[in-house]
Amino acid sequence: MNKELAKISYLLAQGFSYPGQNNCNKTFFEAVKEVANAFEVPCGSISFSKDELCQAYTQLFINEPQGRWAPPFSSVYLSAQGLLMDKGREQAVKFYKEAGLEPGRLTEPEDFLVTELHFVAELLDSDNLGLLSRFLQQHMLKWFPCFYRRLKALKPHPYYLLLADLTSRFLDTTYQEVIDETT
Amino acid sequence: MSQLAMVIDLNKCVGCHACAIACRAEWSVPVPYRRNWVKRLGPETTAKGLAFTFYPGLCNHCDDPKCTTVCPVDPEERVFKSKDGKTKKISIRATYKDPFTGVVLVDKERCIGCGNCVEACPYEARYLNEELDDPRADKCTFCVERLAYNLEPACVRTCITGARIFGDLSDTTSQVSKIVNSGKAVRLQSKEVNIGPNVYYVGKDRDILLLQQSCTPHERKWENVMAPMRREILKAAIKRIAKVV
Amino acid sequence: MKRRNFLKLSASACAALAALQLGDKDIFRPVQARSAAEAPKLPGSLGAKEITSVCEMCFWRCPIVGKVKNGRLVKIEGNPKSPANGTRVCARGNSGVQLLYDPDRIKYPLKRTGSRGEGKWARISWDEALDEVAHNLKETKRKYGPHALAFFDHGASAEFMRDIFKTLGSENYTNEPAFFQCVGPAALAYLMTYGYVTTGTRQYIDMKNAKAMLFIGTHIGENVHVSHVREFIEGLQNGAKLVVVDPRYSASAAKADIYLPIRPGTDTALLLAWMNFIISEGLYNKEFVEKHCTGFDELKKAVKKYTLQWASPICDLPVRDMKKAILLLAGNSPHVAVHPGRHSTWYGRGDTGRHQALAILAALFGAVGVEGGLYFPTHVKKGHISFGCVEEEPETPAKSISEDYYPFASTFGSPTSKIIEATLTGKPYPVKLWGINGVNILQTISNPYHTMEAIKKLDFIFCEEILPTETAIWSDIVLPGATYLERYDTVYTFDLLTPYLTVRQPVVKPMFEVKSSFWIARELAKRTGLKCFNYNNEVEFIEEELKGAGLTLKELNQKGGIVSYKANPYRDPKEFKVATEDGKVQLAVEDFADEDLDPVPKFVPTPAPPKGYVRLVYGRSPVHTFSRTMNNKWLHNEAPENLLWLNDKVAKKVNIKDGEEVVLENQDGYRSWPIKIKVTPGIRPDTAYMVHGFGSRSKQLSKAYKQGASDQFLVTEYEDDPFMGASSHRTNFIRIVKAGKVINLPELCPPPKDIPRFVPQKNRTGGK
Repeated sequence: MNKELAKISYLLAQGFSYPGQNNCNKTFFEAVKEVANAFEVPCGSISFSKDELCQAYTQLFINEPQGRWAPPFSSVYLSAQGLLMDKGREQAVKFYKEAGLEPGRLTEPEDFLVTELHFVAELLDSDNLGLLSRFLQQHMLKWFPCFYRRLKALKPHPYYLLLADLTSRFLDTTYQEVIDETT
Repeated sequence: MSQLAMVIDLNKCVGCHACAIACRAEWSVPVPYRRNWVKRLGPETTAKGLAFTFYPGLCNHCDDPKCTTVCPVDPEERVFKSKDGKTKKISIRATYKDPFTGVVLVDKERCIGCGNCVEACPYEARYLNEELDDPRADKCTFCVERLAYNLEPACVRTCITGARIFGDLSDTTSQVSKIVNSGKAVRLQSKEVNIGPNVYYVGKDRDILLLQQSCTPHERKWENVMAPMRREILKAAIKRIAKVV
Repeated sequence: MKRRNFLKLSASACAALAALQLGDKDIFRPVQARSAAEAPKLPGSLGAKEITSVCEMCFWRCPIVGKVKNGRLVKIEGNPKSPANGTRVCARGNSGVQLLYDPDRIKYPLKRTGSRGEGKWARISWDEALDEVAHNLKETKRKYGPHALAFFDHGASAEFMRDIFKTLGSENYTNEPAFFQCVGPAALAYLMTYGYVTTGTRQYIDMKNAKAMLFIGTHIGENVHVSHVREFIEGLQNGAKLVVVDPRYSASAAKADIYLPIRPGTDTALLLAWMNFIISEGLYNKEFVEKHCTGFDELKKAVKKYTLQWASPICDLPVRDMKKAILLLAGNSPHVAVHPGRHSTWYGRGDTGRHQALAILAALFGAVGVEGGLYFPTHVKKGHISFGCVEEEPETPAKSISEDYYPFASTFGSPTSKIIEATLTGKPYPVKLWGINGVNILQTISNPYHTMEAIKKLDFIFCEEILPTETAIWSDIVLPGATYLERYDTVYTFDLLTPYLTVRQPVVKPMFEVKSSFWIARELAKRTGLKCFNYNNEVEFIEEELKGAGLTLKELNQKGGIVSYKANPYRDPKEFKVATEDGKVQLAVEDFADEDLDPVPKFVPTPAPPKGYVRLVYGRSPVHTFSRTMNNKWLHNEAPENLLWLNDKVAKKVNIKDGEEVVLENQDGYRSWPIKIKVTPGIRPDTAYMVHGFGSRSKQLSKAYKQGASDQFLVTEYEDDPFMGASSHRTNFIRIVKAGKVINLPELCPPPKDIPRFVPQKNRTGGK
């Protein structure tokens, strides 16, 4: 089962990456839809044009003129200053190090939602469930719900709302699963 | 006995706020809380003329601190060590005055975040970060952590005009002693609030007058602190227990 | 423990997942040994790795050290080896961390997807962004010629991109807002009097060793540049006497021995009367004037009519006070620091003349090249580099914006007001493309409403930006620039009283996809087909510059990132020579006369406020740089909004209380956002004051948006300086709107007959 969960985590990470060839095609949307079905999250048609998603993504996660956006970085939510590269990033890096890993390529800070979802997948893939449960409990489940709330309040594009719904379910489910398995 | 102290020279101060930001940066003090501050005063007419000056404030590390008396945490014995190796054993609550440096500090391990000391300070020099799950009282430490590495306090290090003079009052050769002993420096204290603040100010008569008129505390705030606030203590304790479990 | 009913993946879901190309699976790699070392756990900034660099929270550029722990910048302090600031940085310098890690930063290249000013964007690749900009540069030039390209810039790193516009052959590259909205008139006046730019970015004025100082509107303390403030305070501590002339009781005025609350717009009258006074009383430095100045007789004749008695009602100052001040200054000559000022685009007409008068006054004291006076820059040697940019087809247009309207504009570039006019009207030729780097033009240039109209007429507009400012939301392409903490720049030499050589270098690696200005300019040049920037990266040309100073970058860093030199600011009277043609100080500027302008300044009154209005003036806050820092959380917390200073007697008459929130309406009917009133005796009754840069109209700036009022958006009426075309900023008037009701303000200091009242003129460039 962990391998499947890992795959879902990779899928969600890809969903939260900027729209491009890999995550803006029929196969990808199909997979998202199947995962939504598995989580019993209702979703209608989810075929969107790349331009539409690019604009929605930029507004929600990069820069938006109304200041109505949800930065996908843990740091913004985990310290009172609301800055990038703060405690959230420090925490994330510490967990990565404990797993003997470091993010190599990304230009985003290490606590980027996409990177953290990749890390969850890596831990699931390598059956490192003890560390995973701590990572979720002490870090990711501390900030993701804040991000999720902020995003929902923005009445975002339905596709990103769906991805956020799925991620929320996925993280809760995975946490319960690893708690059960490790206790 | 030593007493670390600060003299702020308003003739040199231009109200640039560097001290406030350097402190925030050094100790990650979250907005809107603060360990030190700059208030802009005037232009206002005083008996000595038109004045426009500043109130750069911080914890006064008072001779007779009242914040330490309202702490409800059970006292505990602690051995303090001086620089030259002397030791002294005293009983302290979660906030206390160091017997060798005169610095008023918070024991973050034992603080329960009840906020009594925050309310008691007539200078409003303490804060409790209410946004944290587990708030603790926080305040200026005269940067004792940096002093241990022979570095001056962060606000002194950044003060662009050298208006902040820091040192030991017990050392008669120190610049702070010299200024304080010259009788030119004033403290922000009143008939009602007379607890020996160790931050001193010098400046033009009109500026000092405006500073004293606008910023001298008169309210004996520590007397209003419900002693001890059983309910708050209980709530804080429950919060801590809940967190451990 | 009960096992939860875990989600079941259907066969089709498994198949769908299996079919996926998960392209980014290799984000993580095993920890590499060299990065595994963690900084020791010490509190605060203790134990951090230190990297030296140069600040750019403002243009003063103090040497700094960045303190880095585990890849994160934790604190900025002054470079202890710096002779100018030592360990000190100001509030803004301390807040650089907030700029670097501001989540609102522009992170990737952006392309506009909505209409201009709407602020709808999509992220695009660097290739796409650069190609689009390059294509538009080429196309616009092909269709309309090189002068259809205009560039607005500010800051050292913007100069790289300026080279592209120069190379393409445009005359419309301007050092904005530094010249035409700020120092232009002062810089020109001093350049013509002394032959060098005594005041530009820097002021060569020795306050530290002065026996007396004179400030006209200069408000050091609220205007903070660390070494400048330090020298001012040191001078006072050394016993210097200070005279401050300002309609407002500023932080400097509060430290003054004599404070003269002058009527706005009449400073030149005071200066001319002072000159006449010291000449006729024989109090000027006769030896200096005889040996080192030309044009004295012309000056003497020209100022003869300006007596203190004449100036008194104009300036609204008692003769006794004016006399006391000039006697104090003259009594300390030649060690008198006559501060040359910086921002001088006040009233349009007469701005160059006012600073020329200051320059002349200093010469009459002999306060040049001596301790406490104006001094000479100390040249710090470094290697000369050339980017090898050659203008393709340098041609002058039939009618030149830069040369044909204002005789002395081309010294600095093309006047902004003329570029905007050409963009709006197509005359004298069309301007169709704007590039912007390091300047928020809507919060900088007089009449932003015109600027917005002009932008709508453009074929293309792009900018390099760090934060989503008003300018960014009006741009077609936004290029994400690296902050000063993430990039190199050219080698930086400081030629004031504490000369040094240092270099800006990255303190941390760049965030997201931001790039240095050099990289961006080089890529753009390549794609535009220009032969330019024959260095692969910044380090290559830095090494070449350092070689000329006998250094390498490694050696410089081993020395603490900075090398100090001995200053040579003063001159022996025997060798005294300024940089003018005849080596003498020009008390009358013949070049001005050649262009039918006054060789000696005259008093030209600026119109007085219309009935019911007071003049709007503005200044600086020590915690903010222009409109650039209002979104910085720490600085915002120190000064979240600006206040309108209103005279206490005026406030009492119209029943306005301290702290009340009102709206301001200018003479053209434009209204501000709400602003709180500060009732104080520290401002004249005919004047109101606010700090510049607030009232941001960019909602993206989550903290700065709608905080306080913007002076810029009330500056709709402006006049151009006839010498060099700078636009005035203090020619606007406000009254108050409280709870929807317009309140006319009483006139407590009516202007004398010599000063006409403002009448709106329909054919002006300013206004609605």
